[in-house]
Amino acid sequence: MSQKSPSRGLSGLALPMTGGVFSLGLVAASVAVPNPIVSALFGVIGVGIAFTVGKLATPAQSQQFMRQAQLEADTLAAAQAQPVCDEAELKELGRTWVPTLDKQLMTANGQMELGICNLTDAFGAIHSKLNETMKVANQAAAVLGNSSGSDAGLAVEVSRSLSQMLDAFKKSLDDKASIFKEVRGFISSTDELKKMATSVEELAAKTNLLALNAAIEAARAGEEGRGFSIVADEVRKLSMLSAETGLRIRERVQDISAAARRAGEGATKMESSDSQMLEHASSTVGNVVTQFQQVTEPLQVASNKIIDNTQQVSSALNNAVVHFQFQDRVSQIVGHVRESLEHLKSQIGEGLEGLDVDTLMHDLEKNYTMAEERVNHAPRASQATRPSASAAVVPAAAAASSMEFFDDEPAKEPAKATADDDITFF
Amino acid sequence: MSKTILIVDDSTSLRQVVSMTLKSQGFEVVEGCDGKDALTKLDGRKIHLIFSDLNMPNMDGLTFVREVKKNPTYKFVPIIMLTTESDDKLKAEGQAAGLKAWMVKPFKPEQMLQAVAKLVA
Repeated sequence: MSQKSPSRGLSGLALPMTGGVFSLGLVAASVAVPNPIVSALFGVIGVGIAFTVGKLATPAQSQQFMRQAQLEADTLAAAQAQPVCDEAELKELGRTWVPTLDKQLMTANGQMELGICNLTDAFGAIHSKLNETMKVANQAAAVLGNSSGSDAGLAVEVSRSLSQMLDAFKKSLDDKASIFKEVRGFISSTDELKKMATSVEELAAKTNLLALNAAIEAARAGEEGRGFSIVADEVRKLSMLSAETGLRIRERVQDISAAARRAGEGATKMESSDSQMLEHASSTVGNVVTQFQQVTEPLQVASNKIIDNTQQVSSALNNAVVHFQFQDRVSQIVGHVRESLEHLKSQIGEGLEGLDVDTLMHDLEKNYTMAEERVNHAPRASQATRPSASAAVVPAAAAASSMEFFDDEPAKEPAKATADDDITFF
Repeated sequence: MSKTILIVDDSTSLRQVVSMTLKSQGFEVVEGCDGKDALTKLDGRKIHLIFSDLNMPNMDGLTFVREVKKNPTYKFVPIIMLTTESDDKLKAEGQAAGLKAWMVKPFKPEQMLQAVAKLVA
């Protein structure tokens, strides 16, 4: 910006040094100071100084006094010599600078809101994935069982199932053993049958001998013994048949006995092999259960760790997202600043006459909703002290409770917190 | 069946944050970007609770609350004002309009959920 009409301030006081003391006030009054009040003030001071110097001092004293006055005036002029806008420039300020600031604030605010929205979306997606992970990990943990051992886990369930299977197998072998016992009993029975068959043969031989003797005695008796001879013959035939039958029984019993013996030998071998098989199966099941536990226990620990960590991350994520609320607060503060800039623009559009700082500050303050804004609100001119840097970070609810519940019936005064100081229930 | 909560706020990010907090607890969420938009969401669907901001374009929070209280279907739905404003005079206006609670932003999730539990049976 080009520097226009810089104030010369009290540098004009150098002129009276050559032109006479009374001209001091006139020159001072005619200096191109933009503010007429300041200019008039300079005039009054100049007249006062000239009057005093002209009436009381010697020329030498007057010159010394004037040099001193000039020195002080130059120092003051240097401090006052700031570029000052004229009215046209002020209007230009309202036309360009204020809208530019407004646009920059709007852009910054928009970018921040977009960024926060994208971050919240991304965090939301992560949160959702974490929930899915937790669900799956919980299912896995439920299947694997609690590593603390209070719940029946998969390993315990597998061990129980395999033990039941072993028990069933053992019962089957026991049943088989009782059948083998019956077979052994049957073998001893065939020995008895064999003896009985031999007895039948012996009885048949004796009967045959007896029938032969009876036939001899019947022949000796002659005609009277003819009938008895026929009976003896028939008895002999029957004894021979009995002997043949006894022989066949003995042969059959021998066959059965041999088969039963073979079955018994097979059963004995099978019993031994079953016993070994049961022992092997028990050992294998034990090993499988142990190996399974070695696999599932680390999985249980891992899945529990996943659940714990996921819960912690999820909770941390929720807390982090909650902090994004700052964007809403910042946006509101920026909104109030922009609104005030708009007021300023409208005021300076009317020139210097339109500038009303009191109204500007009042309108700004009227829009405040947050404690920080009220704390930051600067007092006018030299009133009180400026807000400290820490004022800008005053907690939102420093001046009021953050939540209140209200009763059903509206009251004249808002009800005070019922549960705690953070909520108002009506 | 999960409960449905209507969030009314002109700040997208704030709606997202509230939505995340409520959804993580199994609530269904319907959003409105200001009072006027939120009234269109009251289309007969069941709403169990409403969170509304105070300062919004088109229709502010207090006007919205008054409009809801005129609607026979939704007049008994509890409404919580969720705002950065903590002025007692405005709280009294809110109470008179039929608000159930006043919550100052930034909210704490546990307090929000406590309030929801208290007002949504």
